[in-house]
Amino acid sequence: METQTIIQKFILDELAKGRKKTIDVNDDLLGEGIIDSLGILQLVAFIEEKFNYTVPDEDVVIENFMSVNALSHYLNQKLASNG
Amino acid sequence: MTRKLLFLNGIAIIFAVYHHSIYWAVTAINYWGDRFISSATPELLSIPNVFSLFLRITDQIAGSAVPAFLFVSGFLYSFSLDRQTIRQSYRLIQKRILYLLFPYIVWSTATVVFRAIEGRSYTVVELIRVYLLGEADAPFYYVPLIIQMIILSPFLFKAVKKYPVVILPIAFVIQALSSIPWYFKVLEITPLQSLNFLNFFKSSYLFSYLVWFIMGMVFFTHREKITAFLRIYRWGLLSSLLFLLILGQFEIQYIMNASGNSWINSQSSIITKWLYSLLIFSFTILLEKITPSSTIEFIGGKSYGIYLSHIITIEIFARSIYHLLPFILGQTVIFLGILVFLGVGTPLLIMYVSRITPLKTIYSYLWG
Repeated sequence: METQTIIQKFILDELAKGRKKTIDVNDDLLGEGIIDSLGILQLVAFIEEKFNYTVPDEDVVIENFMSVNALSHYLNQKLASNG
Repeated sequence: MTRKLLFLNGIAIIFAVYHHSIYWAVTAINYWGDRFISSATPELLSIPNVFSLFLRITDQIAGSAVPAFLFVSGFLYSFSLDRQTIRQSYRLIQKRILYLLFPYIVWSTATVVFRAIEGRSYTVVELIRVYLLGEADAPFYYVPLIIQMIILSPFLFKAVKKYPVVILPIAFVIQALSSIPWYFKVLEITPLQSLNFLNFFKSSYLFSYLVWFIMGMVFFTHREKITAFLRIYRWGLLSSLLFLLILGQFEIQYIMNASGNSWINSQSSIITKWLYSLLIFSFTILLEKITPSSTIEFIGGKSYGIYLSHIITIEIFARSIYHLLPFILGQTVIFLGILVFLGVGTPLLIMYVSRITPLKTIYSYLWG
């Protein structure tokens, strides 16, 4: 499965339960209340487990977690550079 | 490190359930003694011994749950509000408050109904206080408190970014001032008239708890400097922690003797509050060394729902044990273990059921 689809599915199934039935890859995750601030931590934990990649503290910034698109773009870049 | 805050949140909710389960352990010892044979007596509770010290120290440490929640919230709101204008910040906050408010109303109502079944009646004023001030049960104060902090957060965050060295000490001073009236009350001291201004701080949780939310914000903005500093002075930190823990025990014993109470909730003590601040700081460097358990992280992610629903849960189980398995009441540690396990596990089970039934459409309104 593509990174974007995996992240979108996790958010929809685990974090946005009862908040949204569908999410667009460009939806503002925090701004539109799709996930809350604790959801960011759950997202970081999920990424670290699923992709076996430790998200450095300095990368936990709003720009990287703004939307599914932003997050998958960030993650694809990091996973590619990590080989 | 950031991910480990989820672990901290998980530990905190287990602490919260333990802290509130202690109430039932103390109730069993003090008032339900006719139901079991045990050496755990009210006298044993009020004098220092291995048993009473175990309960007091674990209760004192477990009381750090709400400070830890506030610390994590302060950190996360800083993350969310970073580089946002005030207008954007309030747009974001609006949604967040809604998802805090709906479950709070649901669980406050459930608690009121539960108390009504038990025979309690409410006046209109009392009902207004239930929803406005979080008086459905003691721990519900947390929701109006965190909402006040969230509303203030855009301004607090800007202030913390600009003047961290000023804001944090001010918050500590306000916390110290807000603790003084508790000593007057518990020791039944009539304060001098010149100290009347302290009444301003008396009944506000905000003044007392704001410091931990601000600590989270300061940690977000200066985490590298803070952790580097704490790493250098880790032994000093550990010694101070132990010193405050011991001093806190002497203070609790003194207050119990002076007030004639057999149990004191130490959370209001200023020494305990300093202990919580140091515990949180210690945890931030301890977190670097430990691999978080995914179960605790999972629990951490569900902490709000567990927090709101665990009070009714542990009361139902404590009363059921009283009626059905009274011999457990005398085995305090086992009794506490059962209450904590069920106090965390039952809400998680109900959450799971909510997710796989038609209730899933209102899941966030029930559990946040």
